[in-house]
Amino acid sequence: MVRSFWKRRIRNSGLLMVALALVWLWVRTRERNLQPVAHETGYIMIAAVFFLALYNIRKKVPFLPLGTSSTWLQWHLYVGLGSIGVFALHTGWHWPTGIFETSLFALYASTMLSGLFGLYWTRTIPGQLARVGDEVTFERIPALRRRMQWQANETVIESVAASGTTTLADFYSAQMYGFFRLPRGVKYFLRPTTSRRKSLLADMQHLQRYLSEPERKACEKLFALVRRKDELDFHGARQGLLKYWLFVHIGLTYALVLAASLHGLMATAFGGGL
Amino acid sequence: MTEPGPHEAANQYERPNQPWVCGLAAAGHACAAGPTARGRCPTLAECSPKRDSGRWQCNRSALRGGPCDEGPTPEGRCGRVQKCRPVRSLRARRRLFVATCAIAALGSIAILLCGNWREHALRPGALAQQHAQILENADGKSASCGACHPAATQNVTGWVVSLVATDNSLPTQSQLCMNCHAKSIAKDLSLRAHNLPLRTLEQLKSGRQNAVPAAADTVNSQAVSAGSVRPVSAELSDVPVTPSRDDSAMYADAAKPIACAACHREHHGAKADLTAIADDACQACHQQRYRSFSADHPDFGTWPYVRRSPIAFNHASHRGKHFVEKKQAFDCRVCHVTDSSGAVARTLSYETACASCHDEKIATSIGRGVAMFTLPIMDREALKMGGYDIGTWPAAATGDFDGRLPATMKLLLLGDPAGAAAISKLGAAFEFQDVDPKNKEQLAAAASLGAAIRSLLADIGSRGAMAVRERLSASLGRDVTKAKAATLTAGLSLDTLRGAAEWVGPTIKTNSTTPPAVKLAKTSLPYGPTGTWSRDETTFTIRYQPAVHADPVLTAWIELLASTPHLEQRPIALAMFKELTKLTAPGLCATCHSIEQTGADTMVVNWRATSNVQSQRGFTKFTHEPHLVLPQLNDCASCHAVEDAAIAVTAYADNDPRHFVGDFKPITKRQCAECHTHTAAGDSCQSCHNYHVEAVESWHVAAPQSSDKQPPAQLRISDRGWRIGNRNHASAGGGDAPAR
Repeated sequence: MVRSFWKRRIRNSGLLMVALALVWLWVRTRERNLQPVAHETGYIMIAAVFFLALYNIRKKVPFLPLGTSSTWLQWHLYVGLGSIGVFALHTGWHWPTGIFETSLFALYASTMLSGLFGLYWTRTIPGQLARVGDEVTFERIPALRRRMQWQANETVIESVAASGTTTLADFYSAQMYGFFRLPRGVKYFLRPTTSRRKSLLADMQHLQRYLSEPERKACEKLFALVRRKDELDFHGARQGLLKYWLFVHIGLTYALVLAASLHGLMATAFGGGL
Repeated sequence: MTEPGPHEAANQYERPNQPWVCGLAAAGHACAAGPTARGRCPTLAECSPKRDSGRWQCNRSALRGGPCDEGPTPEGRCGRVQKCRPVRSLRARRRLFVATCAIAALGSIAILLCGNWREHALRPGALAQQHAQILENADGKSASCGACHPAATQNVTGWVVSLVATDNSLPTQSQLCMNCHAKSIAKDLSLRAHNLPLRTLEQLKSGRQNAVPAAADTVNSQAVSAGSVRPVSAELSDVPVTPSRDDSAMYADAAKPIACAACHREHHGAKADLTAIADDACQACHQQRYRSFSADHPDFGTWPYVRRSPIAFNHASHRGKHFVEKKQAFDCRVCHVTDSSGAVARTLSYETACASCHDEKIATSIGRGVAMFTLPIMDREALKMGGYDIGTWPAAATGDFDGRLPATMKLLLLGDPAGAAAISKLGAAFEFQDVDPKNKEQLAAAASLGAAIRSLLADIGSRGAMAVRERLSASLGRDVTKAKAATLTAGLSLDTLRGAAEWVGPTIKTNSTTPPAVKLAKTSLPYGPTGTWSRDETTFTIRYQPAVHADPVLTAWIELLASTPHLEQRPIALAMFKELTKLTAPGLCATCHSIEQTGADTMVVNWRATSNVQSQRGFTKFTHEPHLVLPQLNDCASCHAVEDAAIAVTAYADNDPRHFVGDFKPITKRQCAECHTHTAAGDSCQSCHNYHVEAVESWHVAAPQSSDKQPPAQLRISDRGWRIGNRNHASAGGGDAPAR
């Protein structure tokens, strides 16, 4: 399976390189013959952008016999990577000075960067998720978080009833209530770490000496709940990243398609011919 | 806090594909029905209580947990009615976000297209400074796109239509370029390769195929044998030039139009160099590959000495002999000075550079003046016996036939049919002493000529320059302008002419209130002051005493004859031309001022050494200024080494400026390649070559086949560095080609 994956990757990468080399040779030949290349590379670019955008539309019409989504994804990835080369040929890597062209350049660069980040995340995050806890459906994470919070609350309340002391309850309300009640912040969303969990567990460890027996048992339960909540947050953050980068990528794609269309229209109309 | 529902999947109805999800899902209490498609909560009860034995019973299904603990209300309604505020699903939120982005982009584009700053915002980049200063509006924001882009006059609909249909009524971009650039480039040739007609390009091709420097024919054999000069053919043999792989393809390409924008890329910023053309652009047609100047470029052959200098100045003899005799230092920069821009080495004027030595010789040559009109000695007795009466003729000019008519006079007599017929009988080179009194035909011709002379003097005496103009126009078969005719007789007074006319006839009365001399004086003369005219009553001659140098009358006569087409077919005119341009002729004009045959069967006299003002742009450019900065090049001789062994006396023997012996050693490519590398002074094609040329002379492109021994085409015109420019002022003798 792994071998077949690498074989496919090498084959597709090779084909991409060959295609780019052919385009480069074609462009060079045209340049040497004083033939226009900006329009031609522009047509390739706009065709590539439209093709890349079609992938999103393809996913909305799964009933049409247009090939598997997996195949489309492969094409999407390699055409997207190839478009970087064509973009380089088209612009010569010159940062434009016009307002509209600068916007177009920035749109393409942003879309491409978001795509590259997405590619990286889709290739790395599933492995990270598989290593952490059970499989969790993204949509159920709020409900699970709520349930964990309820369980933690119940555990603490039961310990108070059983021991008649509020040491654990005070610690819970001061340190752990927010942890269970809320999802993690933006910083954790972008770069999840275990520091909060470690900090909480360490504090709970220190608290143990002041707890009564019933509270100590409840604390054990809270230990487990903290671990599960942290894993749930990790799932939420990582799966959220996988979901929300598409917001940016697709949003930019549509803006890019529109701007590129206007650019192509103007380039054709203003080309001037001879 | 109520206990959340179980999180097992079986107990929840997930709707990730639906636009709305239950608002209670986050709490684990999502209802089974879920929101409506419009996102409204149906507010459904978990069961429909049934009345049984007078009591309402909960009938919630076992799948939902069975009958609830609370049970129905006393009114029989379900006590567990779920009501929520539905929330958008993740997919719906994404769709909304994407739609917002698209609408924002569309709106931005609409604003962009409808705003009055559309042109400023849409232009792809700032214009180059040269264009910006013309096209940018005063506010510095709006650009007049329509000046270069026909589409700028259309709206968006027009742009869309242009995708499928070309509007031929709109000018092309290159045509718009020519609205401003037509002064420097001919409109009809603007899209041609090098702005040259196809015929000229073909001539270039043939010129290239026959391109063997004429100097190869005339390289001084002594110098060659001495080993100090290599024959140009030898130079060429070193040139690593092979025929282009496909010349025919290159010239086929030349027929294709090239848009201005193919090379000149705009909108790359104010400081972008519009004329910076990559070498690849040149090699689109010139397909012989040049990796670098030092490695592949052919040697220069004889460049820049591709023709003799317009002024016949022998550097070797001046340096080795004349300056030595005068005990003066031979310093190049005394004569070749830079102009006000410091860029171009110019030759000083005659008065500054030459007069101190040459005025004396010229003055000697014009000592007796030039006979322009004279009366021959007529044999009145013989004529009388032959039945001819020549009328009034001075007694002192009567006797045996004798005398020689000046060529000027013969030329003017040719303008009279009777005179032309007489000269035709006597021959172009006749002299009166050759007239045989016993030959009736010659006698008749002599009598006729005598009458024609009387008529000539009377005509000129009465009408002055106008008569000269008409007669010369008739004799030379070309139009002689009024100004030219005035210059030909500049300073010749009416009194002088009338007096001459009275030698052979009655006093001339004229109605003209203004004497011809005054009329002529009004004519602006391009040269120095005129000489003086005198009437010799002893020899019955009107003589012209030229000024020492640059005499306007002599130069006008020489120019008139040189510019007459097919002069060789007019023996009288040719004889006069030869008389005025021989090395011992009065004024010694042709001693220094070379005469060249042009393509139009005319000749031109090089009155000036170089004229950078008038020079036309050629294929090769060179400017001294940046080179003279280098200490090692500060000495002119470091490049322009005088060839002492060359004997240049034959260089001006004929009228082909390419048949010459250079008095400088050839400049080798190696000298230039020391600095002109890719990493140093640059070795792009553009460093030395122009693309847009203004003119190509026929003699540049149609090299004469001077010898069958010469090898066939191996060099290109451009490779040889042949200057294609003004025929009078081509780069020779170290003059600068203007770098525009």
